[in-house]
Amino acid sequence: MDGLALLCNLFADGPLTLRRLRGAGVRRLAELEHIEPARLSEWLHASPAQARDFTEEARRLSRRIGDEPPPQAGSASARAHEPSAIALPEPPLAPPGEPIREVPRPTAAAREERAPEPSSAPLRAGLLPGLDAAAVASMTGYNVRTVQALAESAGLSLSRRTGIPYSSLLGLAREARRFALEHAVPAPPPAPIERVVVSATPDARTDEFTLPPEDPGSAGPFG
Amino acid sequence: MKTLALVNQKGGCGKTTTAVNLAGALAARGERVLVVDLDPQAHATMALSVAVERDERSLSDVLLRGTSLRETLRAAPGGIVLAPSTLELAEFEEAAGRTLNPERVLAQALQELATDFDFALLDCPPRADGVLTANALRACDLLVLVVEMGAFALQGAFKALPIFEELAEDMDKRFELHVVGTMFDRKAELARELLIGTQARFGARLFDTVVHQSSRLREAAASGVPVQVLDPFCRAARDFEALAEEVCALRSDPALALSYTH
Repeated sequence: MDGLALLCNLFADGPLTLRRLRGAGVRRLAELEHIEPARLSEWLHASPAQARDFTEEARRLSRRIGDEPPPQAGSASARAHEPSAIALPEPPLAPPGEPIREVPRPTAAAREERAPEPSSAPLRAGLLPGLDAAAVASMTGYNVRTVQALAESAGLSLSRRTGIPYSSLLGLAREARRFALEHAVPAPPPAPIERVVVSATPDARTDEFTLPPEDPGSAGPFG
Repeated sequence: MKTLALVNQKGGCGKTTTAVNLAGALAARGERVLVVDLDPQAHATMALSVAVERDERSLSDVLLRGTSLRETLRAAPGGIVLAPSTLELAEFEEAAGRTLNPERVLAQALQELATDFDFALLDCPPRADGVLTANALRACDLLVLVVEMGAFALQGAFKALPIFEELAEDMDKRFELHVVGTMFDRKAELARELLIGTQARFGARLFDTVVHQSSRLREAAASGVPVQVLDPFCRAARDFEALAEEVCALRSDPALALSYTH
């Protein structure tokens, strides 16, 4: 198992994602850092947000394990990698309800300075096929107010909270991504960031990556 | 025929589950697969819903009384052929003391089936230093160390390795070692850390495929069928499909093919 396979097992579904990446010509973990999230998202059949998260995990794992060819068992390099797995330094998952990770978000001031993007258009009934007033009201209650937010937030946890069927939510997210691509404008320069603590349970962390099981051939990488 | 022995010093790490479901996945690919249940607890036999009646032959007849292995073979679900086990197999440990070269019996018995099957999977008992496991080591081309991604599993695997190396040295035999991770729960921090540690230790010898924890596997075992029969589209079936693909790829690996001769 090389670093790429390890990444796919740790942060995606394993074999299917690995096959897709290798099919696209990716051979090493470090290569993922240089791939556009949009292209990665296309390869993995995942949302751009998931692709960005995946790239970030790839970057971290690459730093941690070193992106070298896998050592042979019993070799000197393998023995050098032999410290107790349990002792490896990573904070444990927080219990449910506790803050578990920090996500960089633009500051309010930076958000105001940014040029308005069509993908940040507020959600309204009829804007996307299948988007009705009830769905808009449900999602607004959970801070999903724009097309972009819908494209990035659709997942099992949002489905559970809003009561919108999971498959319908994925369909809406697909339409939102399509809408965002059709109305895309060049990205503004990176904004200064503040650290915002996002509360999430361990389940929520993985549920976000879960795609419908009924069609494994077209399921996303995190199914 | 390529022979894989699924081993670990520890019980409950998924050896039988891996043997049965890997066999199911290989059979689903059109390979001719034999499962040899070398465990006196006969879990693989039960997991393939085979019952051995009093007048029927089993692996203990082969090892204790020199019966032909072909006479014991039973058709099992999923297109698998099984050499079943019974509790009587435990007597072989004691009888081995009175037998010349007891660790060679299975290898000789398998020879008559060499052209009848593409793969033989040997499901070993949870004891690395017993004569049954020694038979598996003698007969196998590829040693597959099954490592559960849970507490103490990796340490158990490290402890088993010297025993296998010593046995191989005693037998003057070279075999390839590969490792498969089982019962992986991606949500569990410990499991993720163990996988990283296992990859660091075994590198290319660790299969790319990790078998995830799955209720479907438990249901399949309870139903007496491989998971491919129970639910061919579930996560566990896909895991074993990917593992079978890797095993088949190893067969065509020239480096490994060299080590198959012994």
